[in-house]
Amino acid sequence: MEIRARSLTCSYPAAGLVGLSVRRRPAVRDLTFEVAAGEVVALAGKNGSGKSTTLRLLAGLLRPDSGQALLNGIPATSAEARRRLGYVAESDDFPRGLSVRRILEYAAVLAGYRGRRARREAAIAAEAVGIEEWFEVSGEACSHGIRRRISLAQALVGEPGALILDEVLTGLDPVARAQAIQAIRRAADGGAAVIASLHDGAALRALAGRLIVLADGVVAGGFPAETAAAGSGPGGAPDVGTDWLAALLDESAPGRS
Amino acid sequence: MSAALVVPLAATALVTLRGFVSEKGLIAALLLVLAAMGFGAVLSDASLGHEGRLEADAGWAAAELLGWVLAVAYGAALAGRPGVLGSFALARPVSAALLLGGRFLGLAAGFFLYTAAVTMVLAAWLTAGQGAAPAAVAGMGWLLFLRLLVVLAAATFFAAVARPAVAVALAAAFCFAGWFAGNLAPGASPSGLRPLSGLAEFVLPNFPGLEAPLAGLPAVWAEVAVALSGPTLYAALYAGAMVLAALAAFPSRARRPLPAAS
Repeated sequence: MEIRARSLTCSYPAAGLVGLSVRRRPAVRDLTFEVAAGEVVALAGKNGSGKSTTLRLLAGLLRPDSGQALLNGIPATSAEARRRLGYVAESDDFPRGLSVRRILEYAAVLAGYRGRRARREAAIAAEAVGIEEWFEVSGEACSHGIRRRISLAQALVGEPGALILDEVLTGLDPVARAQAIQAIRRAADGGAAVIASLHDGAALRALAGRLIVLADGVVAGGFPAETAAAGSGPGGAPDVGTDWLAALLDESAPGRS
Repeated sequence: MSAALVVPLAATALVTLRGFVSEKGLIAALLLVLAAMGFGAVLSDASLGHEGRLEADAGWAAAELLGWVLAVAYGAALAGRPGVLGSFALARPVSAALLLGGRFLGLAAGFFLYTAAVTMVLAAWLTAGQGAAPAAVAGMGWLLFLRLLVVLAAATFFAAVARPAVAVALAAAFCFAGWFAGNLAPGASPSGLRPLSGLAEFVLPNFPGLEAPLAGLPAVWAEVAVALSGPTLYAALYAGAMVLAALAAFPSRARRPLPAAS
């Protein structure tokens, strides 16, 4: 499965008087890139640069103003395209009153699994991110880190062909982070196309093969993660040790030469 | 209907029902109904021979009022914030309309349980203490459920076309207009407004038609069933039409960028 953005443009209505406005605020403009099957691409950028909007467009959660978000060549807003999609939203949003087991089983049912198969897929996904011991705990009662792992587990249900992950590693402890990275890598090795927004240079090095930098809703640079990390990428990323990603984002800001 | 449609619909309804029954708002409403009955019991000493009536009236009134508040609040929030039914569910290979329909069914089942709980408490009190017929009390409970179903369906429609905060206001105004119009004396509107009032009668929910007759409901189960068949048919058709309109309108909005998103 592959993920493709083709001249993707999306804008939001600007806030106006009593919520009414004719003006629109562009969020992303003319994005074109693709993620091949088995590839892990990191999406980086400052807050408000359009990362989450890009990922929501790719997951079919938003309709673009123009351009296309395609999953395996099919518009992402169609149910057919999302048949093998795993998506982790920026915030964890689970149905209320359910245990972790029920949340994952519900995700499996929505993904098309039934009965015993749904229970098995839920268990496999939980094991992949190490949350089996939380299985009977209410999703609402879990800590932020556990909730991120539940979100990742529901995205991994049923061997997805495409993974779209919005800040999936935020708030994870080092052990959980390593486990999550391993689970994502395993999905990519199985042929899944993965795109993930990341803020952490170390995680990016461990996970991604390629980096796309967004600035003000446009692609400001794209290069192999290794060369970016080493400070010798086509974007001219400076070598500033552990803060190399921050420096890279600063350099990518509009108006910088 | 195929299993591919029914299974996620039923799963969504069940998940919504479980969430609803674990809501603090629902539990608080049930406790307030009991408190209203207790308050009525305290006052009943002053009711000069109509003991029992006051408890029942206070209980029904509280159940109705709180039921309306819950139906408007939960119905209007059915579609959630942009993102929209929760990106968790919307990213799955199921349609937005199916998720909205499943959520409506789950909430409808929740309101059935709410009215059943209230009715059982009142029935126990009225039949054991006051000698009321169980069939008549159950009929009153069923009519309360039908009214709440209509309110929920109206709120669901507004949830499908507007943001939750706006949907709450619109649904409350719409249902109040229906209640108000139904309680106007026939022919009270000026002749020039007759076509408009005719349209309003058709569109607005007819709550008086979902109330028990002044003479009261019969005491025999079969007669109660006959008496309630008309209101039941009306409520089913009205709620069905509102939900179908919601399902038709919602998918185009479900994935539309809204100002609240970032």
